[in-house]
Amino acid sequence: MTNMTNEINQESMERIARWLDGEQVTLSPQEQSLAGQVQTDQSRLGEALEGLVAPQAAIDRARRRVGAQLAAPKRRNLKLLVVRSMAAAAALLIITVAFWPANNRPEGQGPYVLVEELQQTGNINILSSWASDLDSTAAGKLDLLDALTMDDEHLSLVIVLAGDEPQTLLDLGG
Amino acid sequence: MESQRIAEIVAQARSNQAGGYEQLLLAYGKRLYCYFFHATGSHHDSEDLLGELMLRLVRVLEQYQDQGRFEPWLFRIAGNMVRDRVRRNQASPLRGAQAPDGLEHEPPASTPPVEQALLTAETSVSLRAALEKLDPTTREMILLRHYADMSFREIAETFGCPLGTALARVHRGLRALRKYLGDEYDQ
Repeated sequence: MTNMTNEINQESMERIARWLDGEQVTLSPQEQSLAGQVQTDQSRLGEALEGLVAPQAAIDRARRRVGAQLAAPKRRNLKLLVVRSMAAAAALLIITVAFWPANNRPEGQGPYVLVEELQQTGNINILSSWASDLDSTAAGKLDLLDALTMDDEHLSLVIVLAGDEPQTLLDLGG
Repeated sequence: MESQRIAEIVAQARSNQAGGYEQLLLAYGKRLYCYFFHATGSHHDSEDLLGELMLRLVRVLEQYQDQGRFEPWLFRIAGNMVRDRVRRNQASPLRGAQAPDGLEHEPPASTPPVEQALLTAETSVSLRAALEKLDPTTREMILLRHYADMSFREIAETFGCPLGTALARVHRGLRALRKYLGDEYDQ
């Protein structure tokens, strides 16, 4: 019987394997005999293997380990946490400024703030420092703030609120 | 277990709900333990590997792509862990309490006496000894075929061999087990 495997060639073995996997394959009588042998031997081994009883204590211990793992506070990327905190603080500042009560705004201007006012409070420096941090991190994942851009003529802040179109909320003029 | 039910449990576990992992443990815990035991021959390693596997699932479950074949994926991870553990045990000169024939017959000391009796009565030492006589790859193929319900195609892919070779190895291994176990196997 053991020699049957040697007598049947690789192609036949592949056909038998496919048949045992449930594919529609036509087997020769010899191939059918080997396939039957495999099924019978597997069935008998399966009965023998099922004789082992797994201890409930082992299952319980695994359950406790998983429970402890899920309950443990997740360690966060510290740098990303710092950046997000700064971005959140800056966003709060920006939103507060942007929606400054109308009677406090200079006449004739929209929801903008005078450059002098921001500079006096030191907010420009705050915005600049976290903006550079944003560029160096995976800032694209932040959904509150985009970037502080600056060129020779214009200092502007673009805020991207989650789900909304980007809008220039602060135009500090040139 | 039907595919849809498995998908539901996996989704629940992925959302980090403890209930999901509880369901996974209920569905696969005992099968995994038995697989680990027959693959390593050690109750201690089996318990340890089961816990380690569940912890690993917390980390890697999101990598599972639901194509309706969760069990082979799960048991591939289990198989890798078994190979690592066997390598580690072979490299380490101390394996703890071990019988002269290299098999650990005694269950963990923390197991209650009633369970020990059950294990002793149910566990076939001769089956374990027979499995040990097979080469590791053949043994693992046979165990995965049973415990993971892997097709021969999946076994071939897992072990990187032709389909016919996977069948040939399993067939020869099963025949050898039948020969080693003799009358006990046919009862």
